[in-house]
Amino acid sequence: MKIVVISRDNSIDVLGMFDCLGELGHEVMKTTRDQAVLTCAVEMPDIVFCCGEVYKSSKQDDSLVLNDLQNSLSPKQKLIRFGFTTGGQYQLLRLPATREEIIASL
Amino acid sequence: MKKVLLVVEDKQEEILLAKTAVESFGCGAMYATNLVDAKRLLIQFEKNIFGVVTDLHYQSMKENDSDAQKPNGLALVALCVAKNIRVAVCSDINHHFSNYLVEPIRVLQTHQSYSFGKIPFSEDSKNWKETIQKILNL
Repeated sequence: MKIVVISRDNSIDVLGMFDCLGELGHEVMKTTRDQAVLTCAVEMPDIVFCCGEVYKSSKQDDSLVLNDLQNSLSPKQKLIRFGFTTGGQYQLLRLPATREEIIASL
Repeated sequence: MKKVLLVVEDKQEEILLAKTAVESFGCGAMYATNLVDAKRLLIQFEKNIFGVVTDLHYQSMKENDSDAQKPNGLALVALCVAKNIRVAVCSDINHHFSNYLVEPIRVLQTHQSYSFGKIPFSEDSKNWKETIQKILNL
């Protein structure tokens, strides 16, 4: 599967997930929140992981990224948010996620 | 390089039809449901967007349900013309009793800032495939 990971940093949590997805044989690419909507429009990934600052929806601009992604992804594309724990319409995982949790989320 | 469109439409069932049409041409697209979001995406990705396909009647902003029947899309068409970005209209103005919108769009497509000479206009019913085909040919 083609997977886009949205994260502005290279935290060990995100890099660990990146490595895990690559080891599983998936085509993984990383993008920033500023470019996320464009990246998804061009690459048409099967799955989008939102990590790091993106999940902090209290920030207005991060909410906008999620809003744009929600509008732009098709029903067959899965959006997974990391670290957001108070519910919502997306599949959620905590950071750091274990290998098993990542595999189960796909 | 894949052509990326900005599609603006507020009704979910129409968005799904638009997505199917976009994919059928091998294009990519980003979607907005109101004028504020559409203008933000247009300005942010002005250099990456091949063209804009927009409905005419939708909200000015997400939280404002009261103006969903107003032709906010006309403002986006004007902005595209001013920025010389390809724009096409996919609307059903008969449904909105909005034949008056035909005239300003005809005038806008002759604006000196707009080099494409034509604003494709699906006006009787929303035909996403035909409208996208026309904007891709501009």
